[in-house]
Amino acid sequence: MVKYTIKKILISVLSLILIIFILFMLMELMPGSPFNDEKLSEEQKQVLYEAYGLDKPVIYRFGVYMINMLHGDFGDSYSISVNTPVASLISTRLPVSMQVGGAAMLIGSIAGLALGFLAAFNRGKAMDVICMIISILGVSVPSYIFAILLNYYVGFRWKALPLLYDFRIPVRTSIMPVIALSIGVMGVVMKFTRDEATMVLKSDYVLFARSQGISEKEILFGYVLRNSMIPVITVMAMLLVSLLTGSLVTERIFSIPGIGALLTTAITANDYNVVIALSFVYAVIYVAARLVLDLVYGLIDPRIRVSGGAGK
Amino acid sequence: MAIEKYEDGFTAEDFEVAVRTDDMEIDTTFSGEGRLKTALRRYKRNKAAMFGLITLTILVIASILIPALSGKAIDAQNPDRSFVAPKIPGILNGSERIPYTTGERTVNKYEELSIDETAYLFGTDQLGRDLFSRCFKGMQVSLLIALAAGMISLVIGMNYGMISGYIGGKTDLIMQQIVDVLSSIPTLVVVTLLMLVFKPGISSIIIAIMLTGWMEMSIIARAQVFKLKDREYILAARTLGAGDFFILFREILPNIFESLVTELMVSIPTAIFFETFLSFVGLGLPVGSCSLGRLISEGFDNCLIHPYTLIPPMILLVLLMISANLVAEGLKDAFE
Repeated sequence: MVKYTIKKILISVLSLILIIFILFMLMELMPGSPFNDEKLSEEQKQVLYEAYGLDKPVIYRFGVYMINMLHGDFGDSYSISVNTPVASLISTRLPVSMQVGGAAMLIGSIAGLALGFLAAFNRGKAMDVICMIISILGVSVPSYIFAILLNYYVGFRWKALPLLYDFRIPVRTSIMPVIALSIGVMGVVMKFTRDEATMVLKSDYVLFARSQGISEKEILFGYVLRNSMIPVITVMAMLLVSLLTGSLVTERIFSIPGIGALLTTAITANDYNVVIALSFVYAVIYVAARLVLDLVYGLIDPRIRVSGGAGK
Repeated sequence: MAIEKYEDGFTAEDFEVAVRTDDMEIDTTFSGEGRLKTALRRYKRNKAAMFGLITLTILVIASILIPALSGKAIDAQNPDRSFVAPKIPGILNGSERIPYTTGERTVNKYEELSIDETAYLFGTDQLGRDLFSRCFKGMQVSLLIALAAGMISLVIGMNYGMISGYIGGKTDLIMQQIVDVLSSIPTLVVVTLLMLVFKPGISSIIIAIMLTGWMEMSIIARAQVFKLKDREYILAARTLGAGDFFILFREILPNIFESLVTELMVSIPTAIFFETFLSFVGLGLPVGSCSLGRLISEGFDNCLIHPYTLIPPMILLVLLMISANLVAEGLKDAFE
C-alpha cells in the first residue's frame, strides 16, 4: 500500500508540474513583450528587465513562476476587474461553484444508485426499461440542454422558480442548475450501478446466500450494494470532469457568479491571467480528486494496488 | 496390387468407408459463422441499437442532402425577413406570439411582408437566414469535426497503444506513465488553452479534441494487444519467420479492429458534445460560421422572444447524441 500510495502521489505531482510548465510556456510564447517600445534605449530596457527579473535564465523564472502559482499568486486581472489580484477574484467565486457542483454530484449519485438498483432488481420488466431510457437520456444529452429547457419552461414560462441566480436566496435559485447538472451524473451512475448489480446478482455467492435462506433485504444491503459500489467509485473522477465542464455553460445560463462563468468571461475578454489561473485551479481540483479516488479504490480493493491503478 | 495385411490378419478389403449422411447434420447455429456475422446477428436483435442506427443513418443522410437540395443558400442574408416564424403548410401557419411589456401580440410575418413564394420550415434567424438548411448544414459540420477528430485519434492512439503493448517491458512502462500523466490534465483545460493560442476554427477544434482523444484509443489498443500477443497463431507466424511489423499489422490489427471501431463510435458523441460546448462558451467556431453549437448559442440569445430559433438545433443535437450513443452501446454489446 505504501508503494502504491507513493507512486500515485508522484504521478500527481508530476502532472501538476507538467501543467504549470505548459502554462508557463504559453505565457512565454505569447507574442509581444511588455517593453518593446522603440523609444526605450538599450540601457533603459536593461534596467526594466532587471527590475522585473526578465534577465534571469528561463529555468530560474520557471522556478519563481511555479512557487508563485503554488502560493496562489496568479498576478492581477487585466480587463475583467482591473488590477484586482486574480486570487481574490477566484476565492469569492469558488465556494459558489463548489456548492452547486457538490449538490449536483451528491443528488445525482444518490438518485443514480437508487434507480440503478431498482433497474437491476427488476431486470427485463417495465421499470427496467423506464430506468434505461432515463439513463440513456442522462448520458447522451449535454447538461446545458437541460439547463436551457428548465430555464425556459420552469423559469420563464411557468414562473415557478426564479430565472436567474440570486446570492440572497441561494438555495431556491440553485434548484434548477443543480437539477440540470445532476441529470448527467445520475445517468452515468445509474448505468454503472445497473450493470454491476446485475453481475453481482448473477454471481455464485449471491446464489449461495439465497440458498442459505438469507432474506432479499440482507442480500441487497450486505452483498449487492457493497460489491457493486466499488466500480461506481471509479467513474466519480470522470463525473467530476463532466461537472466542471457542464458548470461552465450552466453558470452562464443561470448567471451564477461561479468560476465557470468567470472563465467564460475571461476567455471572451482575453484576460490571460484569469484564464491561466482558472486552468490551474481546474487542474488541481481534477488531479486531487483523481488521487483521492485512486487511494480510496486501492484501500477498498487490494487487487488494484497490486496491479497498479484503477481500471481504465 | 499386393494386398496389405494388417497385424490382426485383416486386409484392407475388410473395411469400408462408412457413409452415414442421414446421421450427419451441420450445426446450423454455430457452423462457420464468422465473428462479424455473429456480431451482426446480435446487433440486429438489440432493438435500442437498431433504433439508434436507423435514426443516425437518417440524420447523416439528411445532413448531406438537405443543405444541397433545400434551394436556400446557407449564408444568404435578408435583413427584411429577420425572425420569420416557422411555417409548415398544413401544420404551422407562420404566426408567433411575441411577448411585449403590456401583454402578447400575435405576429405573422408572412402576411405582413407578403412572403408567399416560400415557406421557412424552421423559420429564419436574426439576419433572415433560413434556419432549416442552416440546422442541417450545422449538423454536417459538427459530424465532420467529430469524424475527423475520431479518425485522427484512432490512428495515433492505435499505433501508440499497439507498439506499447507489443514491445512490453520497460518501453511499455514508460509509455504508459506518459499517458498516465497526460491524462491527468483535464480536457477542459487543454482545450481552453489551445483555443487561446490557435485561431478559432474547425481545425483548431479538431486538434483540441484529438489531443485528448488519442489516449483512450491507445489504452484500448494496448489492452487488446496484450490479450492477443501470446496466442498460438502469433507464435506460429513468428516461427514461420514473420517480422514484428508483419505480426503487428497483419496478424494482430485485423483481430482488434472491431474494438477500435467501437471506440471510434464512442468518441463521436463526445466530440460532438465538445464542439457544441466550445461554440456555446465562445471558444469554438467563430461567429458567422455554422455548426450545431453556434446555432444553439445564437438561438439561446434569442430564445426568450423567438424560441423557434433554439428548438430545432437542440432537437437535432439531442437526437444525434442519443442515436450515436445507442449505436456505440450496441456495438460494444455485439462484439463482447
